Amino acid sequence: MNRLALTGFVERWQTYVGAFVTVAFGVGLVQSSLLLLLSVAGMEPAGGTDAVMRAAYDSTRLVAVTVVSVTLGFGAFLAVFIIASTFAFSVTERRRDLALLRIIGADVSQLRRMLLAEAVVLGSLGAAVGIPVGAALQQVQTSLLTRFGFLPNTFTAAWQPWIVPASLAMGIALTLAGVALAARRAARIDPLDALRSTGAAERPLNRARAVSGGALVLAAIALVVTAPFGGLAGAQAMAMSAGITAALAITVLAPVLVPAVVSLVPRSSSPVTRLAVANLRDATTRSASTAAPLIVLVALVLSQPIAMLSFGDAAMAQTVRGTEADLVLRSTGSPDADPRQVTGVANASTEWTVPVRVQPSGSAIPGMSEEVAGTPLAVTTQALVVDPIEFGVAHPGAAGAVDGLRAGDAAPGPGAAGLGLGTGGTVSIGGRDLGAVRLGAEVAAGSGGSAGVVLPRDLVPPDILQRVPATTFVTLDDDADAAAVATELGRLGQVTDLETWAADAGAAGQDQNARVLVVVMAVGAAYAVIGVVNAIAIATSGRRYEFAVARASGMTRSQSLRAAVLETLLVGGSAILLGAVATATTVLAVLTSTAHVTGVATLDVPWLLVAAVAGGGLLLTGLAGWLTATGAMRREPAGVLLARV
Amino acid sequence: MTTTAFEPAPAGTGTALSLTGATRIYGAGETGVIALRDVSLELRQSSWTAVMGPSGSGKSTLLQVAAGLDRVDSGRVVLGGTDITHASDQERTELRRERIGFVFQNFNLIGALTAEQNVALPLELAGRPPGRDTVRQALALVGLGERATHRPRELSGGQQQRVAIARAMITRPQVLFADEPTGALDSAAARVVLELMREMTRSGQTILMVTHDPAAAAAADETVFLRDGQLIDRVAGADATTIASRLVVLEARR
Ligand SMILES: Nc1ncnc2c1ncn2[C@@H]1O[C@H](COP(=O)(O)OP(=O)(O)O)[C@@H](O)[C@H]1O
Ligand SMILES: [Mg+2]
Repeated sequence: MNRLALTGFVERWQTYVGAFVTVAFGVGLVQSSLLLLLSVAGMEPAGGTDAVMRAAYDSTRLVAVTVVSVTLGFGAFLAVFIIASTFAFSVTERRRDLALLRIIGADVSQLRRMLLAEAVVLGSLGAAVGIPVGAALQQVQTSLLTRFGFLPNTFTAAWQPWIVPASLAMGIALTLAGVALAARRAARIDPLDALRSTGAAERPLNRARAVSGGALVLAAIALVVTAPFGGLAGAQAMAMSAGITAALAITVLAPVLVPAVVSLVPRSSSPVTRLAVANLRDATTRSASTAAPLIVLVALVLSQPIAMLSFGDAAMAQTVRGTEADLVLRSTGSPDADPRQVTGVANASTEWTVPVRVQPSGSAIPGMSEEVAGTPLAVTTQALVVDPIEFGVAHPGAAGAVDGLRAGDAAPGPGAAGLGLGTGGTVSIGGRDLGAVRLGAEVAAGSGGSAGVVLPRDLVPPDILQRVPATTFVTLDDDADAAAVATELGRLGQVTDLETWAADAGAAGQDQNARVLVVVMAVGAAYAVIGVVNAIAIATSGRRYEFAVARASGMTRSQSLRAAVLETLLVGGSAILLGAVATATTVLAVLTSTAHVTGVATLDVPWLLVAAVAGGGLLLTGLAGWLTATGAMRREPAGVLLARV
Repeated sequence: MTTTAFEPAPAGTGTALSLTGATRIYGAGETGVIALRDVSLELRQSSWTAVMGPSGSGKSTLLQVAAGLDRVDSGRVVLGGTDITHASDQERTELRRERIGFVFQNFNLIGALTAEQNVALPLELAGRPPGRDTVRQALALVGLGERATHRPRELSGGQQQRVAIARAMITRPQVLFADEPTGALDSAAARVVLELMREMTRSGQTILMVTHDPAAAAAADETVFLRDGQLIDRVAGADATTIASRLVVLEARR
């Protein structure tokens, strides 16, 4: 039986190329991310660095850990997804063979064991290649992370010998997870399927599919509905998840959705077009499996940036509305002279951004004693250091929260949600202890950027403030000469109006977001390309006989080829459309949430990316369809028809 | 065609297969199709029965129900003394491993495996892998001793069907079910296949064969005729011409 699995492998190697590449790439990526993560976590700044540098080091390390963890999770998820769809496909394509095995005496558990054996072979081979691939990817990932400033230039990730067996186990675990579903489907194959020459009409939507599809649709709706109540940070996460959830729902329901979309194509008089459309609508499972990776790709690659950019814009717009300033002064460290002393200045609120570490006090689990639950994890975040009175004037929304701040007090910032700061803790900057603080009322969104905590100036030693970026929001006296004040302030740093400052700060924030996205999306895109090409290759190469029949019925090679390419293009087009529909749920969540939280619905769509994804997706499907169909039509139809085995 | 003479069945006495009032309905209610209507049939051990009838008359359904691949909606199916009417999937699998064999019109070999691997497969699945000699011997019996390591696509249709027969024979099944075994073969290749099947009945095996070909039916001991799911006629020992004319009458009365 296992020899059968092996022979099946050799015979159907085209089916498994994609899965093999996926395993190798997935194992490589997980391995390299894991090693990077371990090295980053244990990373220490060079001796002699002072508190500010140390604190900055901690905060970039946090970003690096986040990026690498997301890459790792993404890598594992997509690997399982692609392997699962490959095996699902291979079971569909081999339905007849599997049914035949049942007829000549194979029982259900033998079929299942055969598929599991295939998975183990594929997993081990993939991992064997994946381990050196991982070593290479580690270089690529490291250089990407250092180039984008997430890691210091001196960083190198250490190699650990135990990673070899770990990666091997990982490869097998990934494939076993991927094959689980296909094995269950194989078990349900009716032996009679071997006798039906064209295969019984597939039920496009069985109960399991309908139920899980419905559940995913409900989950996506729930995310869209609750997103507005999660605050900006929570809403962003929910809006992103809504798009992915909707994409998964669409993937599950694809056997009815793809043909529905294709039926929008106007009836054509060309036999080539009619054949392509008919094939698509007949082979619903195949069309759905081909579309699935592209749907997920489109939704993933579009919904994440849309949410990130839109919420960035919304937060910045909210800050502008929550800030009263005629001029904004930007300087590194405290301004050389006190801007409040400049003639014509009514109020000047200088705000410093400092990376800090807060060790929340009390128990990790509220209501449980600290001895039992342990201490909460320390939080690395950005602190906004302010003069409470002036800050309250510049940001009227925050006046209540900061007015009474003294040296033992602090206020949670707009970015505190989910950090777990609790009611107080000890603050330190790069290992320099600033003492314990009580945390009072929260500074409202729109008043303090995305800082996790707002600290009164008294708490922070001046030498630290001298080293970090500062922004001063200035309001003028009614009779002041704006130009003269601007000139005067210009000696202390860069002076602009509020809108210009907001545009610059927004762009800087989006730049950081974009760099994170590029790293993560590169991984996603690589997988998606593998997934899409793989699905098309399997779908098309399994259709030699069908192509031969079409040609024997009078179609020329080029007509059959055009029909096949048209068919993949139609599937690709439907997938892009359905991916866009999934993305629309993210858009909806973005609009309702930004409207609810900031009062103004904000949407930022990177159209260039949309065009690139749509065009690239079509190009990719067309090319893959053409190449595989050419391969499948290489033999003369007569030979194919006679040798049907 | 040559094999038109009636050959008396060897001295088998027991009943290899019996259907009693077998009815099979596809679908339900108004749109339901009665593929098999109250069919009763008894096959003596070592007999060879052909099933004929117009397309859609229920021949394949009869075969599938008799072989336990499909269930009857009412009636009873007894195979070699075992009532399989309500057998579980596992019991039916055991049955296919131990007691029945199949041959199909389109051969149904596994394309990835060589002829000898295909032949060995049923015994491997049953957990009793045959020795190389046993497999070679089975292939030699169907005249393909030289082709053991060829893959199906390197064999002609007739040769593929002989591999399929070797595969069906290697478990020494009590009953062989054949659906249009000569349907895709030319007359010379068909004759070889029919002769092999006659060999099998001589060694005590029972055959139920669906066919369109009067010559193939004439090679059997008895032919039963189906129309609209009902058994309406049977002849024993008739030649191809007689069978063909019966069939013409049957199809004309539609
Ligand atoms: N799986 C099925 N579902 C619905 N109807 C079927 C199915 N299989 C066969 N039938 C119907 O049952 C009848 C008998 O079919 P079949 O036994 O295949 O006939 P034959 O083999 O004599 O051509 C036909 O009307 C056919 O359409
Ligand atoms: Mg039939």
